[in-house]
Amino acid sequence: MRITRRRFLHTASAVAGGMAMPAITSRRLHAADAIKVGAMHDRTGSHGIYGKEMDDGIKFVVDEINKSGGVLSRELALTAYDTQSNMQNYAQYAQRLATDTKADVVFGGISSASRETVRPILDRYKILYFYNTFYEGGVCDKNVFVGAETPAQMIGPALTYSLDKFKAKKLYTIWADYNYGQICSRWLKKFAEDKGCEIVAMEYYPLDVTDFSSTITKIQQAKPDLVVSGLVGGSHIGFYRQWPAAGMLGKIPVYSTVFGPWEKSALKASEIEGLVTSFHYFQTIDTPENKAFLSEWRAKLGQDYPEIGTLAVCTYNAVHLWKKAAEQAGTIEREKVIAALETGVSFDGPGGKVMVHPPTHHLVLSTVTAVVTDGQFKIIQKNENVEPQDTAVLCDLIKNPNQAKQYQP
Amino acid sequence: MDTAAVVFIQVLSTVSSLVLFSSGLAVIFGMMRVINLAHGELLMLGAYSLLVAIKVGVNLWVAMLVISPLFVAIVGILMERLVVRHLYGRMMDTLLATWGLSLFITGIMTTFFGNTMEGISTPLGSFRIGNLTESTYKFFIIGMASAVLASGYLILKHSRWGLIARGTMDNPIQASALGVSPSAVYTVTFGIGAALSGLAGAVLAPLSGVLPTMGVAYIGKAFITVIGGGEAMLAGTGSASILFGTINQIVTYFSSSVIGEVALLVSAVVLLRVLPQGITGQFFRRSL
Amino acid sequence: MKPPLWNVLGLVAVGAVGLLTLILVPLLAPVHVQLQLTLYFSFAILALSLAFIWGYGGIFSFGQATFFGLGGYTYAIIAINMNESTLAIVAALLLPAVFAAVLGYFMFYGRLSSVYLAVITLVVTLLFHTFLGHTAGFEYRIGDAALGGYNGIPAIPPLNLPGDTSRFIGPEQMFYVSGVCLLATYFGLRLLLGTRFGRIIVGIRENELRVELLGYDVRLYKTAAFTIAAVVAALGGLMFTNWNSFIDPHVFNLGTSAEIIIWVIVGGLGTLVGPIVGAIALGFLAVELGTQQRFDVNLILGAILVVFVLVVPQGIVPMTRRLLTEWWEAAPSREHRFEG
Repeated sequence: MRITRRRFLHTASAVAGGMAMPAITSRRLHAADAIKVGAMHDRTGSHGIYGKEMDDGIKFVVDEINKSGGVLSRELALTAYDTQSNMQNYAQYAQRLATDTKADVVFGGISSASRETVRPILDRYKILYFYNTFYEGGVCDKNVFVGAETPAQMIGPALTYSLDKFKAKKLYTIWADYNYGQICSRWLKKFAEDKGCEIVAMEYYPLDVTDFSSTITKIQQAKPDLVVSGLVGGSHIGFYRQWPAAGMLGKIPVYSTVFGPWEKSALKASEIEGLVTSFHYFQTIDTPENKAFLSEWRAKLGQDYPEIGTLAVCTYNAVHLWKKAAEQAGTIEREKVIAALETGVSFDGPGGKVMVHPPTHHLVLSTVTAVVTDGQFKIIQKNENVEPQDTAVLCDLIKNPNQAKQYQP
Repeated sequence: MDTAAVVFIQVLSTVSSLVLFSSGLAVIFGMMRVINLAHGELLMLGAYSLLVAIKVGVNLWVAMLVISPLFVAIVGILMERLVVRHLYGRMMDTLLATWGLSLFITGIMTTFFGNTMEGISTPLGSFRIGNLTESTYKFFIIGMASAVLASGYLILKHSRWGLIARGTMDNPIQASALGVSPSAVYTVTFGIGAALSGLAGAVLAPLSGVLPTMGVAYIGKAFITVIGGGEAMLAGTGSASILFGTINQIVTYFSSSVIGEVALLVSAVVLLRVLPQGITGQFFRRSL
Repeated sequence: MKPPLWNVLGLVAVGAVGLLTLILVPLLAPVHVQLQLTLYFSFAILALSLAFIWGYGGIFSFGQATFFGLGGYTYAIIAINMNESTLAIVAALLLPAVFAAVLGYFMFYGRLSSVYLAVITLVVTLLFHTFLGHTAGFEYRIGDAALGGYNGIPAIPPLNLPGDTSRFIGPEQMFYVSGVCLLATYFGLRLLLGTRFGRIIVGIRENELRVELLGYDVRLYKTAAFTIAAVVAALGGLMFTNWNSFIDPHVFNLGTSAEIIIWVIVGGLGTLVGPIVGAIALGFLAVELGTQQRFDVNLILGAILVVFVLVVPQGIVPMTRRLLTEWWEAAPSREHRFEG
């Protein structure tokens, strides 16, 4: 194809125009006194399965709040970025939210890596940050509030249930090999051994492993009473498929610390029957509040919106907690909002009441244990007011406010 | 004893998977020297076409063995006609174009199918050896890989088409002087390579989750296998798969999957150092 | 052959544009653009390393990401342990150089070539990715520095003036440091290519057999060039790590390795300015595309790349040069005749 000058100029200007377009159209005309809310979630990429509902969630809740009069009679103006599961994007968008948008509050982050990338930036520019994804616990930062479950909350009650129900003494545990898996595994070992159980294995799998056949053979040889799985992400779904394929479904019970609708939707009901799992929220929670929430959600985002999980609801709760604190403080100024949050602000979300736990900046919330039955999360038990014990033993921001780190057990 | 038997089957299965998902690349690279960075995405398309076909009610085996390869072959032919054919001989540009295509295809699939999709469970149930059980599907994979290698051999060696293809690859000018159209040969070969990738994607889909980004996990290993195998397409891919697959699976069994991966990579480095032309640069020379 | 006047003009132009950027961007552009450019400067340095070894040396290395990442990780580990950056900087450049020399020896003295070399360099990169991805456990520490697995190493101490940790380089100042490093690398490589060594390297690309028959030990020169390219990549890694005081194994993955190649091809293989342009342009493009939510980022980026390769096959910079040359020569009043 011969390149003529004309053709090159045409192409170049088209490309340049196309590149400029997003910058032009995304420039929002903010109302003069609108409150600037920033959000960063992975809508695409390896964590896209988790990020989509969080991104939709924040848009949903900002809209809901604006329709009911905003915060302190001011509208919320949302700038939401798709970080594409890429840490550099997190850093760049955080810098942008801090220095260009000058956000008043930021919600977001999914993997622990993303949170740890973003935290120092938002701390440096003094922007209040809410992290709303269940994780391994330990974050102790005056500027950060965690709106999601820690291992003590997710694992504690569910493990107790599993140990009782299956009379389990011997546990075989498999984990995703990164901070979440490493730290959770140690937490679970402690908890299980306190109950007199024996952990026969703690194995770690890199996030891109898809073939679990060796693992399954080794599990068969070890003959444990319970398998605990802390596998994470799209590639690890393979385990939940290969396990029944090898004829193991129902032979040894499986409790998974990370198994929500995002994984379930990729699997057939027959493959996961009997799987035990636990989060703050499941869509199958049968309360009027949840039903109302879901019908609003569906009306807004589509009647056939896929099943949502705890991530969307934690995001929803976090924004409302911030709103309540701001209204209590009478201002959106960061220091005052933090002080207000630290009085123990609470909110009745679709999953039940959540309350800020002042010393750790985490939440006291209810957790639900569910068993996958006929392809649905059947609620077995609900534990109220579960505290983030694991973080609480290490972190007290009321006594020592000048902290900004993540503790390891 | 049962353990040994089960591990042996797992090794064969890993080797077969390698053969399957490298064969498409072996055809395209081996015959046309095109580095197709969109290879992983062709696999992914094979998996997705399987799921879609099943959803509309097609029988699993028909979808897997007929529909998926056919669909991806068409995609491959389109790729070749619209993009790749303008770039023959320009390896760098082919790299760039196929990388662009890989992103584009991933983007399209994400847009239309979202980030996750209900997959299919592994068919054929399980079987028992002593105290251990394993998935019967593994035998199917082993069978498929053997079929691919066998039919590849038969076609290349004993069919007129195979002769034309080999001749064109060796000397396109001479071939065209003899009345063969090289560009037609290239298109068909690309289509066949794509079909093989689609087949592989469909066959491997029941083993794990199907995501738009699933191709990435396979492309590295596919390249290593094809290059490690060397010049000869079939013998090369076959022997490299046996070597790498065995090392990977055995080491994984005795330690962990990470060490297994590392072992595979290290053996690739050592192999290429010792046999700089790949396995078939030294052994099985002049074979297919 | 390009006229010598062009060469000098070209160098001056690059220097001028570079200096202007360093001066004007902080004054005129928002802070986040400055921070973004700092990141792209480190990528541009990485692109330069491939531009040198591949565009001028003819060695297609799929593994420049290895040295980039090694430089970054070495800096991180030593800086955390010593809490001071001087030794860390030296080590960050030295260790990848040593590794490259060993790997180069392994490859070039084994007479490995083209595709096979590419695969080995790719495999080495993947090895690091696999290994470092596995290091999330607490036992994986070097001194005080936990390797952190997929979570990477956060909170890395910044560059400081030698001996004085209170005077350190903050994020906004990294812009200048990275920019200056980029310019220095560019001019350094230009100088190198003008020396005898540089000409031999290019000669090896053109016709290796002939250079060997002329009496040069080709393997030694290739290893040396490979090592130099590794140091450049490591410098990029050093800048990258200090951009956000963070590094993770993502720098070693297949996508990153492929991206470097894309920058070079888009910018123009065989030039030095081209890959710089390619890295910065594609970096901005990817981030800007991420801010809009209408279309999937991969879709647009992929489409742009495909169209690009069909329409602008040689890369941005050679294309621009050609157009400028055509324009210059087409102007009727020109009486200049260009020699050689």
